[in-house]
Amino acid sequence: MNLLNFIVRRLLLMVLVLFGVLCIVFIIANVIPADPIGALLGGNAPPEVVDEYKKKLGLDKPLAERFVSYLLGVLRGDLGVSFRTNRPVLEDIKKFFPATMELAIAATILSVILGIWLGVASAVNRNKGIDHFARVFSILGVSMPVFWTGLLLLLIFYYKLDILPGPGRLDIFLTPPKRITGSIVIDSLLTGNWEALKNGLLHLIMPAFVLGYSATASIARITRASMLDVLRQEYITTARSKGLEERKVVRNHALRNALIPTVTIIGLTFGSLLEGAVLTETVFSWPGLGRYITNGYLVLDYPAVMGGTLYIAFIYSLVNLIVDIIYAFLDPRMRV
Amino acid sequence: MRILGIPVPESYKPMIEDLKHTMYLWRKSRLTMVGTIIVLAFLMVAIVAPFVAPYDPIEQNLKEKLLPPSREHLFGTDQFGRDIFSRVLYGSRIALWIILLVSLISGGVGTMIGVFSGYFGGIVDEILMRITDMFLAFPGLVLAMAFAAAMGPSLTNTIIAISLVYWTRYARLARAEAMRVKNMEYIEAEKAIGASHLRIIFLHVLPMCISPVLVQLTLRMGTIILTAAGLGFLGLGAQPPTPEWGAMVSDGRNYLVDQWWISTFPGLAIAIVVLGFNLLGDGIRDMLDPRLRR
Amino acid sequence: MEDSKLLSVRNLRVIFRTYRGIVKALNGVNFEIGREEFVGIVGETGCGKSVTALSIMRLIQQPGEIIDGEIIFDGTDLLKLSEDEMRKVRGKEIAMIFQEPKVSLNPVLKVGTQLKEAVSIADGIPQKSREAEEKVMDILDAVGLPDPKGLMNKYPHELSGGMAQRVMIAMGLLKKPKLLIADEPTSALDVTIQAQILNLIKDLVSKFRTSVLFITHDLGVVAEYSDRVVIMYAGNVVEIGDVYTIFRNPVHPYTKGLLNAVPRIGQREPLETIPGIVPDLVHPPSGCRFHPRCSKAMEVCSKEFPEMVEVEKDHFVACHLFTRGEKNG
Repeated sequence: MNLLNFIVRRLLLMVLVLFGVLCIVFIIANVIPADPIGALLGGNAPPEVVDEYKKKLGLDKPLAERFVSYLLGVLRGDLGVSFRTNRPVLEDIKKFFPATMELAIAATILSVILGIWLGVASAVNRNKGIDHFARVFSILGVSMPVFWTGLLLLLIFYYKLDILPGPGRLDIFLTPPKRITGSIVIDSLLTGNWEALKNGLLHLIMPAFVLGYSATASIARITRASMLDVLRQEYITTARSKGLEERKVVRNHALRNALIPTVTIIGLTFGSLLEGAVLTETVFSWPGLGRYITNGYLVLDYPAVMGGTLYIAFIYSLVNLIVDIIYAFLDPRMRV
Repeated sequence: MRILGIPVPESYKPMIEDLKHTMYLWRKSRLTMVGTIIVLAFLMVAIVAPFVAPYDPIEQNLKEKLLPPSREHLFGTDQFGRDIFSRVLYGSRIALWIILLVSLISGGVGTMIGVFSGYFGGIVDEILMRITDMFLAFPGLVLAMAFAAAMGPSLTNTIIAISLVYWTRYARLARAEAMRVKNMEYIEAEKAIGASHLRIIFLHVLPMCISPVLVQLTLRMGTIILTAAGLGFLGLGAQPPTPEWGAMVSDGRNYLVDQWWISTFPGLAIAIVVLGFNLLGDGIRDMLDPRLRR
Repeated sequence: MEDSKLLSVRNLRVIFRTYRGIVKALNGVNFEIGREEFVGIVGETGCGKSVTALSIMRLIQQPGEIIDGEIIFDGTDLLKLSEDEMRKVRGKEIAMIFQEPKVSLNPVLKVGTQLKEAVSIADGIPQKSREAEEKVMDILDAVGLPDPKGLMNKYPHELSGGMAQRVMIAMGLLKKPKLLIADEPTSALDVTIQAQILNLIKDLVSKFRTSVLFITHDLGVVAEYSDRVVIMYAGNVVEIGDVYTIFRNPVHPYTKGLLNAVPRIGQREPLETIPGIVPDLVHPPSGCRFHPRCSKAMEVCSKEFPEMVEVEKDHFVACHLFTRGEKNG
């Protein structure tokens, strides 16, 4: 029943898994493609130019050697240089990741609050008005493709109604705040740049909602199902038989049990947020890691996509680890 | 007892009762019925598309480009003058193709790996599970993008890429089932009479794993469409002029403001079909949940 | 005479709406419990014993519903109370313990927290106070649990079945209830632990002067611990009497069948069983619900529902053999 033991073991596992992730990424970038340089330079490039490029990028060396040098590079923090931007990939990541983080966090906060509230209200008021609304809302949320929802909202709220601002993090003519963390909201707050803060938040609303919509739906559904299940349990009858008010029964007994699956889902939805971010960033021209990777894949910028994918997998694993720890904390039975 | 006048042995009665109960639950849930209808409609459209579509989906007709929805063109036309309605109809065939193949490949591969892992246990299990963990360390779409880009975007590669992402879910499920079955007594009995491992796996363990995997496959079909559409939208899926729904939505991006129909209708198709699968999947899950079967 | 009764259940009817139709679970249940009395309810699984218990606490949830009857507890009809008032009754007057103690406790809260919650509601003291803590420790001691302090810090899954049930008993007794309802509290426990728990209950109720409504299918337990016995069948009470009378002179055919089905040491004849099976309560038999299985069934049994009559002092039965008998003198 030791929480610390559990954490240590999971950390070690994560290191192993990340090594495997590195292998997979390497295989994808170096083993699968038939002729990366040829694809880059176009089919008609003269063989000497191709060979020259190969030498320059170290692609003429044997696979094993390339793998080792990549591995060592990663451990040093060197993820190569992007073909496209000609900057070190790590620098690119540092530049673009905060935007994705800001979007993902905003979406998470929105979806957790909205989702749990809808789920609990749904379960406690089973089959009444709010329940039906919530269920329809939820089922649409996990069915509508993220990019389509984004485009529709853009069309309606920006192009047609002009209530919310369009693509991008800030209006074009506004100067962004001094970059401290990379998050527009935080940086504007820290530097007292209220224009940018307001504008930044407005720009954040639609993408965060779109990104978080399916997460809200998932969270609401699982919370509802879990809550209904918990309310049927014997210990809830016990709690009621003690003379406890229904409100307190829900809050003190049902909720903590019901939230256990919800926490797992939050972790899973963060993962789906990372995926959805790729699509949302494309739709809203959000300069984040998702868009960086997408552009990288389209032009086969291998260092960029290897580094970017590696980084995303790392963050994803980290989040899952944190979720597992919270899960073990909430449910003492899980600390095995 | 008799069913439709035909005598049936009494021992079938519990099974029949169970089935009757299942049918009752199915009919009672309106949402599940809606889901079933949508899915059936989707299947039908996919099958009859070539006969029903008014125009050729890839034929260009620049004189009729960018026309709004009308009686001649129910969903309007795109920038190449292609009829969107026909393209959406044909797109259903592509979607169906993707669902079926991905389910087959990822379900098959995943189940096999899971069964081997669960049955043999020990070091085999550890290794296979770590590999599964490694695949699961990536958000699904990101990994699929990686595979699709590396192999070169195309419909076939989309299918392979998505399968490579989803096998893990079935592997875990099959493994859990295999581990459960492995400890049952009749397996001990089989081993005692000298049956080989392979025989035991294929004849006894595997059949038990099929049912839960099948349920999962059904539940996941909506997600498969969404992932495939996502790849298509990003340009990493089926290439033009193939009328894949996701790619069609992307096509219409530049014309969003004035020619909203190019992106809207394919996206609507995706939403409705996924909705259908989700409703159906929910219904199936509810029906199989022993606690809800009252 | 009526006023001295602690609990009076009259004509209690409860239904459950299911996919197959309406289950008429309780079909007019009548019985009484006196003060400081240990009453055992006996019957097969599905006869409505648990439903009766939950109805007294008004803990019947959808798709179940209490549709008729009176439950007079200490002079008040519980069915007429508001939810708030009923909660007070649950908090202070009636306690209930269930069959599986480990699932009756909240798995994510410490045992101590749950006990302190109970005493806080019962005595109106703050849950986190010293007073609450002391009262809980006292009661844990009273139920025979060692190391109360350590126990309070444990989680339910760390306890054995017997310990968990003692905790449940402790939780119930914290409110010093007038009535303790025990729904098969020992069925899920080992036989040796069973005896311990039963003796514990018997001790404590005499110490705290609580009445007990003890639900079980085990006739042996009933014989040993009850003052009076209520026999139920398919949603009805068929016979009531004090324990000696019932065991020496059962009159209802069902009761006789039950007692005959208990094996005795040295018995050589084959066990008698009651022919037939428990009826489907969606379409229950007409008239007396036992008539299809009754060897003494008469024509009237399938037509009219037998009223409860007194066959000797404090011995009641619902059977046409006796209503007729009475009428005919």
